[in-house]
Amino acid sequence: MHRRTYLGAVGAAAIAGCVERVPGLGDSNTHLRPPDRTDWQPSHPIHGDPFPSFAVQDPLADEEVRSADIEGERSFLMTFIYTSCEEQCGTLVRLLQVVQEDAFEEGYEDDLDLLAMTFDPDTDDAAALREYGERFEVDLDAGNFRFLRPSTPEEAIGWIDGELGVPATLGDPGHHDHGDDDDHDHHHADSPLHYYIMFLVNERGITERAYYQILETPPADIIEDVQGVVG
Amino acid sequence: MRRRDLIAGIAGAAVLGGGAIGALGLSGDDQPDRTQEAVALAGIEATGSTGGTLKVPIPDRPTFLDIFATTCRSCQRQMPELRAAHDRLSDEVAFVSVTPESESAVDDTTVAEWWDVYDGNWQIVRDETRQLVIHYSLATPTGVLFDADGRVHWQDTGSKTESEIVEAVRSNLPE
Repeated sequence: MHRRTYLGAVGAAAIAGCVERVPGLGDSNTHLRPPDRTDWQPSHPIHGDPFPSFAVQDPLADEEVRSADIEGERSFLMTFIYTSCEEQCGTLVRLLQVVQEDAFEEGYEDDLDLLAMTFDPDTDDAAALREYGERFEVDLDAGNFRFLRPSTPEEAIGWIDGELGVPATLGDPGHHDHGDDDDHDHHHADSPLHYYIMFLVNERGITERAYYQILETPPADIIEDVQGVVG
Repeated sequence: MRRRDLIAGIAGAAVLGGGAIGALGLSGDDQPDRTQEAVALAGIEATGSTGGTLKVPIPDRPTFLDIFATTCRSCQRQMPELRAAHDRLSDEVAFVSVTPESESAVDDTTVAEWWDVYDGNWQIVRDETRQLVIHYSLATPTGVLFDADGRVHWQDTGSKTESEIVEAVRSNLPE
């Protein structure tokens, strides 16, 4: 909590000190208004907070994806998956695919990256991720969809939990489900504890939305938010 | 009720931001007031289901929409429950199952075979362009209940039992 507050303060100071205007943003750091819900103070950014920096391998393109390279250029959606999670992780990838389709239809395909980070890199090599993306009809050659693969599970969890603040742990055999009381499709005992969540981050690296009820959020609402951010 | 309390409890604790609550779903009065205009979707020829174009939600009839996918195991588990609920509710609501899977990925024959394996006997449609499901959820299974005017009265993701489905329909559908 303290660390989070500290980071938040540093972030705010850094932004306040940034005088140049980003087209479309005006004097604000965000395109979207704060979320309606105000009684919620999670450990991860929700709106107006800097998204933590990252540098993670894209195994399909065989190159490192760095937040510093995206910042100033493009906005992004980021979510967290592992391919042996057969059920709703697929929904997350399908969601990104639907946004990808909209991006091409509406012409913002160069303004938005779609990022799906695995936190089971031991299982999820390039081949597994490609197969998974194809299953959900993602255009993997378009250049705007990327799987991100940290080198080790520890690195993945370290960033997701430690830096981003989304609770995630490795191995917890007695308790490693999604909290969904009727989905128990777990393939190995050390599956990470997983939270379905998606972040929308603007071209300045500032979090616009944390979709914590992502499975219940109408895809149309996400597309509307995305269009509001890239537009 | 316990689920609602759990959601409140988690939110109140302000710890989790994730799917632990995401999969539980909204119900009843949390649902934004929305009226769905009927959209034309392709029917799939299968047991209890005809091909051709079908308007969904069914105009002038309450409709229970089941968003499913043939690859979804929770959907498989839910099918006997859905079938039993359908047998009890078929006079009250029209059941329509909709898959967002594209025909190139899963063709009609495969869907019809799946339907027989899991003993479905009501209308199935395909929403390849997601013009309908995009307003609800791509997560499967998701149930959405519309009244005869297309107004949404209930939506929930995750597999349900027969009695949960019957209860959802009877308690949320206006007289």
